[in-house]
Amino acid sequence: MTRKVLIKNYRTGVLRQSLLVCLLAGGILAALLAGVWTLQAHAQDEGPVCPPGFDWQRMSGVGCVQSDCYDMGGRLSYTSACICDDGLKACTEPVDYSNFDPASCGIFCPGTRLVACVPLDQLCPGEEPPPPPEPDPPITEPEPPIEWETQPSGGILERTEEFITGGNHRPPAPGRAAAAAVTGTIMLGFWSLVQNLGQRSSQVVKSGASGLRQPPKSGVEVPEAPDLRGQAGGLVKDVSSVIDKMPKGSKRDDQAATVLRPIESDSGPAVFYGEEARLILIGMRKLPANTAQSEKMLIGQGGFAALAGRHPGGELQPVRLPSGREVLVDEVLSVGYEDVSPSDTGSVEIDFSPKLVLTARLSGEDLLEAPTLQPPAADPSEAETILRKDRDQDQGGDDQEVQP
Amino acid sequence: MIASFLDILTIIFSIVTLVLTVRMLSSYTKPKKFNLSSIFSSIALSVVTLVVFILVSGAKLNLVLAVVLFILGGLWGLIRGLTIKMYPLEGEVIVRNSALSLIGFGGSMALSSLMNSFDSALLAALGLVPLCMSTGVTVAIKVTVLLRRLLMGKIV
Repeated sequence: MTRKVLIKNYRTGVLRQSLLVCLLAGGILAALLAGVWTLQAHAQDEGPVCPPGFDWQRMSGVGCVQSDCYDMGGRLSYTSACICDDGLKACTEPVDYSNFDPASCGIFCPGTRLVACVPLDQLCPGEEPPPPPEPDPPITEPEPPIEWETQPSGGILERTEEFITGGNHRPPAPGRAAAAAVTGTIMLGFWSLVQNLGQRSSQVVKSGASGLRQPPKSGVEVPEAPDLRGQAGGLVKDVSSVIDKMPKGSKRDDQAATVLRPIESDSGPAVFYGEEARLILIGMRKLPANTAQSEKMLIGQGGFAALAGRHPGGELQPVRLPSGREVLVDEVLSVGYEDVSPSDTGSVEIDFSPKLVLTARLSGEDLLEAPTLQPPAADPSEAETILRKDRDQDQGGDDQEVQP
Repeated sequence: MIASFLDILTIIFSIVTLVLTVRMLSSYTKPKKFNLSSIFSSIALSVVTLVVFILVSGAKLNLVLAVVLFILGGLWGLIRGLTIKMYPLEGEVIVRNSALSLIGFGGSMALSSLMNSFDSALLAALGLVPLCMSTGVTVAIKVTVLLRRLLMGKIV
């Protein structure tokens, strides 16, 4: 039955994990589709119309690219401007805008078009030789010195901007900005997915029953365990009274987020502190071997209490849970978060909160001969029912009382 | 019309990035067993994210400046990586990830996305500044944790 419960829990965990993966994959797919749609929407946006002889190329630097550039002996620069090779002179002519509205191309309107590339010492087609230079007029007075102060004062800012942007003056297009935002979200989501999946196999922090060990750290205040002896013959009637005995303002240990801090006591209960909430582990009780059950032992009022009784020969007497069932824990294996997987046969997870999980071993050989012992659930479904009832009870009210 | 819609889309996804970062925070900062694949995946994903983001957005940042910022972030991450708590526990090494790197990375990602929508090459480039730096922080923290784990040797 133990194995059945564990397998069922394990399957539920796998199902939940698969569902999570499917949801995340669906989200990523939706984001991808949104990104593609965004890019398509932007691509279908009406771009500038270039004058005849020029084609609009959105990804180019100049925007309107001369279509017959190579035919004219030129080549396209890295900004797709039509230029001549080194050692050649570019012969250009103004673009004719007589039959074209310059507003159609806006800032991308080309001013000239390349018509030929000629050697430096030759004339361009249709170019007339320059007139002979006139003799220089006699210098009558020296040129005034250059006044650097009169240079444009915006130079520093412009140069700074030039440096930061690496010479790029074109802002990202809205479509690319949106696509980048989508990409960033997807990548971060993927990272989150990887972390969550990796966490399932890497987060388990196990501890033995006698030693929920604390990482070595100095300067941690150790609160005293509450003394529960003498309470109704060893039975705890009201857990809130126990919680009230917890030292106030205890210093929390960041490292003890999942590794709860044990305060051992010879006769009193063990008290554990965690980041999620205070956990009071009063005692444990053994039931016949292989009778794994899971009992939710959540008590409200801002704290968590796991109530159990040890063997009659031990320090504590048995305690019955609010649900009327006995606690079936005899050894604490680990305390962690809900991602902890039941990896040990004979162990069971007990939920203390939506996040905090105590994993305990239930396969004790010593049988308890307590008169209050009730038979364990007949099958896993019954255990599930009990667990669900307890959860419903916990959701219904925070302040619960433990019946002796 | 479309441009404004795309701007809204950018803002929405920036917010989603922030929410995702906050959502990740709780699970990311929990103490975990040292996991080599997790270290390498974090390094790879942060670097790939930076590169892909720059390529997709079209924002340009001076390469020299980007490298300097990455190194500066790396120095910061190195110091932070040295102060991250690592301790052996039952044959394993438990590591608690730094919330700083995740907040910095997610926040700068959202900031960069927002800056891209302002129709300014300078603002877009400035938006990449924290992203380059936080990527350096993340990479350096992970590398430092990896080195510290290697120096710890075999845990019994």
